[in-house]
Amino acid sequence: MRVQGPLGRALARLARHRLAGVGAALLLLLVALVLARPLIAALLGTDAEAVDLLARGAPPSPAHPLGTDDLGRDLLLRLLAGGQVSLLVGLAGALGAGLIGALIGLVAGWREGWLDAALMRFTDGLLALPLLPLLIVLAAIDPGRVLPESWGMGPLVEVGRIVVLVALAGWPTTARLVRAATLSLKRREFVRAAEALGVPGPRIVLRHILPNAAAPLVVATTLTVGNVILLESALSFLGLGIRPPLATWGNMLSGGLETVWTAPLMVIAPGCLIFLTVMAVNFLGDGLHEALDPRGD
Amino acid sequence: MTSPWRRALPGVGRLVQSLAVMVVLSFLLFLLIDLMPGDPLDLMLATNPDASPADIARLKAQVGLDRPLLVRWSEWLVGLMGGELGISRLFAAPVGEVLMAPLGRTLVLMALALGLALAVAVPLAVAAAMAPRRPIDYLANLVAFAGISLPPFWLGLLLILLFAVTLGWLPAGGPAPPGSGIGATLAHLILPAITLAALQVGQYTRHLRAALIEVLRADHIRTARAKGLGRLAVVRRHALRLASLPVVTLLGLDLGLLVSGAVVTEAVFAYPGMGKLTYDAVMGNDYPLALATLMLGTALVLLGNVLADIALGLLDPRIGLEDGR
Repeated sequence: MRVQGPLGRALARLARHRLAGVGAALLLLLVALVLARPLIAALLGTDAEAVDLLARGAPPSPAHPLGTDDLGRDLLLRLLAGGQVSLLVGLAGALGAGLIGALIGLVAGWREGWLDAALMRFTDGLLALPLLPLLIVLAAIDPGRVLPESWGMGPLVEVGRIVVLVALAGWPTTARLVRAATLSLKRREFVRAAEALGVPGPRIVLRHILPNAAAPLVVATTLTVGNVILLESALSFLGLGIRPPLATWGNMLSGGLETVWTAPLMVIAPGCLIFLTVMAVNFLGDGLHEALDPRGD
Repeated sequence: MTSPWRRALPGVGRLVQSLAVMVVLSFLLFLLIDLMPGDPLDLMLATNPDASPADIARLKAQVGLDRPLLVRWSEWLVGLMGGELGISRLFAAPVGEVLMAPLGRTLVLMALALGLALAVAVPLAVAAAMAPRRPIDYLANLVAFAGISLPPFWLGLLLILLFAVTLGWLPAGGPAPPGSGIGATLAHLILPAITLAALQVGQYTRHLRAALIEVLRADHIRTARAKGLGRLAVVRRHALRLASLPVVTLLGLDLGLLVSGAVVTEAVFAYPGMGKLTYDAVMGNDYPLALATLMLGTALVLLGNVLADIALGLLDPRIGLEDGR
């Protein structure tokens, strides 16, 4: 079957990219496993929260395929539960960063002039701030001083806090890429034609520029997913990430540090999953980068 | 024909621009630190239940915390010009003195990590670019992807588990005890340096390989080959210089990031450098110290960028800084 159109050609190029295939397959497998957690829990006859103080740090056995953690909870199920949160944070953080970045990049590139200069100097400035120390400061800010008190500190606020943090830290790169694409697109004939026809500016930006600037946006957002997962784990390690009892790969890893000498699997397993996920995302991002490059064929 | 030094001259202009950016960013940092919970007085008063609201207000006025943010920021800036950074609350010493030793330790670590990263990445990228789609290229690609995908503290832990605990070859962390020889000092540095270098190896290999493949297609390279120069000699004498441009940009960025961004690595190895100091200052509500470390990190990132721009101008005659951006 011959695929037609730029999207079809890009998909065909992506399918030929071996590493991207490996990455996509890995990610699908991880998502499937995470989604199948209730099923696996039913098979094992336990769940991710079930504490068994008599079987703390137990080695792998038929009842606990990866053994148990320091509270006797099933490590495999904990990992899958943590994966749900980690993957969600990665995706939400990257989408948030992509959204802010796209908006600022489009506005700056379309309007040019002083607004562009101001937005881009601001972006450059943020890029110059050391990321991790900045996140530490941001994470140390008391949400109670910024948010209404009634919101409390439920799991949603906890996850939302991290998503907002990483999104705020991640958008500048995307904004620069989208702005560059917008600048070159607005001088092309089809955009000039739309302008000459009297199409209003915001409509041109959304209907004509955004779809054509999608390639760098998609690639940057994909790569951000991996970076967000790494950042979340680094913040967890420093004690500033999502706090237990809500499991993430990051806080499981740092939680396992105390018993790393007796139960190394508690540290090795979540680290492996973070590594594999980020690697898979990077493979996919690289494949997308080549597939969406119009010079590819 | 302009001399290379003339081409580097506009870098001075960039330096001035960067200073202006610094001033703006310093306000942003000041604001952020101000938003952190518990100002110095809250901490002092938390241990004293007898303090009345009037006492608290009087104390705040005494220290100057009751004045608007802008006033306090401008005073801090003026102090900075005179080299006056305030007194660290945690260390009960002037911030400038507190900074010195950790900064030195981090610079040593950073130099070692960068040297290590280049020593691995450059040969790997050259080998990969000279044999695209051959096993060595795939290996380089794998190393590069692994480098950028590894959670740094996890890598550090695995290294400790392997080399310090299981094999017992190297110390698990901490700085070398004072007065120890160069061997012991290096032994304490090698694992953190590898951990820091992993990400750099990944980035440099990817960018250098891509740039080399692009450059090797150029006409002047074909000319050099045609006149009988060997493949390796062509890469060494003609291609590397041009292909190193993206890596130089990355190096400029890393100069600042490695100094302040080594928070996690320094925490894993209990290495008392700038990263750990920054973390301790923020967590310990040591405002003057936290501000100074963050500002130093920012300044180094900006300085790294300017240095990279100047280096790019020297390396590549096509780049003029005036029409850069």
